[in-house]
Amino acid sequence: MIAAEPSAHIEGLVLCRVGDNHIAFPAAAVGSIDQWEPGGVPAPHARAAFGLPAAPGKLLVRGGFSLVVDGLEIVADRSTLLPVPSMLLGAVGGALRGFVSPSAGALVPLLGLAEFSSFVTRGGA
Amino acid sequence: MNPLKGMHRWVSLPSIWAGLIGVGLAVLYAAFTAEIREGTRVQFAVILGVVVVVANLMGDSYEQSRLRTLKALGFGLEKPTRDNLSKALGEASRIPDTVFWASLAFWVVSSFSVGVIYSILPGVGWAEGSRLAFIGLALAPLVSVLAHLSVLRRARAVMSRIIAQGVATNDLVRALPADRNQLQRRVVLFVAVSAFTPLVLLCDLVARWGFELLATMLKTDEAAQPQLLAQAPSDGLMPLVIITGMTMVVVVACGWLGGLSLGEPLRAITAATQRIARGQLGKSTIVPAEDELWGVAAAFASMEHQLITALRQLKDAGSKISSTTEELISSSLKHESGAADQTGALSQTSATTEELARSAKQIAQNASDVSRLAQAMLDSAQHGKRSAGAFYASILRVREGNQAIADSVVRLNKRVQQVGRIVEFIDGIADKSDLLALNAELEGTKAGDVGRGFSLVAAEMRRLSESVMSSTREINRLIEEIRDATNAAVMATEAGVKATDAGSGLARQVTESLDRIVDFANQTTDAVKAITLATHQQQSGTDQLAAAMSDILRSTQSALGATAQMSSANTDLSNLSGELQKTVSRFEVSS
Repeated sequence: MIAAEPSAHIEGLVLCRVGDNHIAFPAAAVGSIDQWEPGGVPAPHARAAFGLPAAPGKLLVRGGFSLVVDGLEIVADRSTLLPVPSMLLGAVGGALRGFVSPSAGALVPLLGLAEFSSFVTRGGA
Repeated sequence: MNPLKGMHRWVSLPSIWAGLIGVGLAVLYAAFTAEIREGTRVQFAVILGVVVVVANLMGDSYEQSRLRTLKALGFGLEKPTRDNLSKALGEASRIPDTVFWASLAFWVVSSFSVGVIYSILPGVGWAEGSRLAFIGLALAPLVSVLAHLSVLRRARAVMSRIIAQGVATNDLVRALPADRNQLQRRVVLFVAVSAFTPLVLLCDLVARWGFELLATMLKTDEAAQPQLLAQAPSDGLMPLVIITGMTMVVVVACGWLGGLSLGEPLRAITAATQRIARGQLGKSTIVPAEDELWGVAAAFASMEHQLITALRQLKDAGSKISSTTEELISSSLKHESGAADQTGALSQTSATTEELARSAKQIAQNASDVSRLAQAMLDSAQHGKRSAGAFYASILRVREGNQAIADSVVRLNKRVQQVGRIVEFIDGIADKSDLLALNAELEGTKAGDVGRGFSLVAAEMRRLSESVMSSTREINRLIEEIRDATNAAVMATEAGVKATDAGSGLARQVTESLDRIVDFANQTTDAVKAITLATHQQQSGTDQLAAAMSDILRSTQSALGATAQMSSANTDLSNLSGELQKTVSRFEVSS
């Protein structure tokens, strides 16, 4: 597992913005990106995980899972992946894969799209 | 009790006494002159008694027939009305003359009757009868005068009683008109009778005595004739003295009665005159009298009546004059006070009128100024009317400009909306391009190093799309601003149109108002001109009024002086009235 490997690297991230928060998904975990409007295709919204109301954003789709985020950008560069501390294993419905630092001073949790989508769908926070 | 009861009998009774006195005197004369033959004295007495009784009865009957109304009043058969009293008064006044003439007539008839009847007695000749008739005829005037005078006083007393029943002076004067002025003739008659009867009787007596003496001397010797002549005067003196004395007694009685008949009315009138002179006026003093005396008495009664009436009227007039004078004085004082007040008021009024004249002059001056101002106002109003018309036209042009601006802004807004739609379209394309670029970048990234270039191109396209999207957002923002501005411009232009509509309406109203103002100004100018003319006329009128008030003031001041003089005159009149009342009060006029 990626999380188990110390000082590992990851290439291709989808860095998402949810309110003032940032989360990241592996680019490989995202099938396609689409536009989403409230009232459109039913999909879990990442803002729900932060206790925020729904807002227009981008819909991330992979297989039977989808997730709505406010915005995103694709980071093609290689990024350092920090492992998940033991005490956080199983957090966020087991969706947390580690932490990445796409820019200096910033630490963004890397999540599994399917697991986080399920976690939000289940109403976790 | 009826005061006239028995007066008809009482008034004529003295005629019987006078007749009996005459009969006695005649019998005495006949006895002394031996007219009655011896042996016929009884017959003569019978004849004389019968004739005297018959004559008295007839005379009394005749006299009573002349006192019919008095008798009826005395018995109460007639009411004491004015007419009846006047008739009774006339009867009483005429009864003395009636008695005189009746007595004279019956004495004449009786004398002839006695003489004739005595003559036809056996042994009596016509000479004896003639002598007896002669004696009666000689005494008839004297007896008639005596009867007349004795009845006269009673007739006056009866007249006084009748007058006391309520005969007014005027009725009295009408009943007894004072137009028979026979006093002189009556006095001459009385004097003649008084002188004639004794003279005739004395002449007859002397002649008879002389004839008897001559017959005796013729029958006597010549030697005894001187002695007879010496004794003759003493033989015939006694009958002469007795008869003359008796006759003179009757004559004196007649004279006394005549004097009374003349003196009593004069004394009564004198007493009444003295009473009037003392100022005591009662009812009119009516003194029954005859002839000129009655004229004097009637005139005196009328005079007293008129004097009483005049004094009463004078007294009433004095009282009325006094009260009227007092009222006049009071009125004069009030009038004087009122005239003084009026003078003061007129002085103030005159001053006010002069002030009014000055005010009228000032008003006329002000009216001229107002006229000029009104003309200036008219010019200004006409100028304002022209300006308002120009302003209205400008407002209309502004309205048209605003309307054109509004239309342009609306068109601009439509164009902006079209641009907006285009921008939305572009934005949509950019959004989709961004999404496509994003997916392309994702796929290039997922492809690893192989897709790195693709990812870079996709990223560049994505930035380009985002730049387009940013531009479109900026354009949308600008469009929104333009839209807001155009909406504001539309609203502003609509408000401007409305404002210009309101302004044009107001301008129209202003124009109409100015038209009316011009009309009013024209009317005002005309009215002010009329007022100016009227105020000039008023000024002239007030000048005349001031002059008239000055004249009135002078007249009122003159009237005040005249009122004061009148008040003084009224005071003098009041004093004169007081003196008049004082003078009149000296006369006591009983009601």
